[in-house]
Amino acid sequence: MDAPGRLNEREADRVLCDLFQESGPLQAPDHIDERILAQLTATMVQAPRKNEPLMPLWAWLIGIVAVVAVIVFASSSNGAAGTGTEWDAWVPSFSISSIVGSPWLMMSVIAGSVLLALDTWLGQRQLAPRRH
Amino acid sequence: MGAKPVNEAEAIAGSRRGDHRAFAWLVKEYKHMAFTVAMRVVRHREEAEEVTQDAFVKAYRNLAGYEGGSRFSTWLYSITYRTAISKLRARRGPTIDLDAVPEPAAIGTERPTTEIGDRSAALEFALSQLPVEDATVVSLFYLHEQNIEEIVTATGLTASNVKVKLHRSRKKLFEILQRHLKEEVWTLQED
Repeated sequence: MDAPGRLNEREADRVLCDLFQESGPLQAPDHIDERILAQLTATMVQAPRKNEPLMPLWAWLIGIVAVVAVIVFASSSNGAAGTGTEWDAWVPSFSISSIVGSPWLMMSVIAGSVLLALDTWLGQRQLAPRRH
Repeated sequence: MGAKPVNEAEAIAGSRRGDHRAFAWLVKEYKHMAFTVAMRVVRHREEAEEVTQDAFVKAYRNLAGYEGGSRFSTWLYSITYRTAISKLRARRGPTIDLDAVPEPAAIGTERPTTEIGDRSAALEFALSQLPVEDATVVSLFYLHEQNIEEIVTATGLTASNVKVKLHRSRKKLFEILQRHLKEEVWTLQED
């Protein structure tokens, strides 16, 4: 080979690239495939599945809209006595104040909502792409 | 068990369904490079083998988390790299400086007393003289032709850090190769 010359960075890059490609990656041990698969089988790793929240976001939105609609309808029905429409026969009448006044019912609703919201939030975090 | 996959997308889909044969395709495809990444960090053959095994098992368990935003290889190497770093810290302590030049590796890369005739051996020796992060970055760049962004994803380093390490490693590798290769290696031009 000729006496050493001088390379610019691009040429040096090419020389190193050729050297790396010529050498190739290090060779993993021959039996590593079997050991990996044996480890998977031994630990009974289940098929990976995507974690989904118990209640998806669209169900939350529909639920909130439905609850608000019922409350609004019930409030307007409470004030409109003796309307005698067809809807009155279908919609059960109830007093908002009696519902709000029941601590057990409200606590159950709040606890359930908090748990479902937490599950949704945790599920969204897990599905989000990892960042370093 | 499904049919043997013919490409990476099929192998990933099959692995997600729990098909070990499909995952075996991915292992066969990437085991050498994953082992190389592990070796660049832990510098010990048996430990690198353990790291590679653990990395593939972790990859299988977390396939649901692979969204396809980056190449599968990049994602796998990031798992391998982090597993290897954890192994290194377990061995040498949590405050290990990844930017320091490492101790002589236990893979037959002792300082040669004569010039090396084999280019591969010379390259391995030169790489063993680089800090762990630099050796990993330069291997990913030249061996697997990963771009800066992919190396950032794989190692967790910043883009500017990767560029600095690449530049530094090129010069250092050339210095070492020039000293130890029998055939002449041209030097970097001083600007």
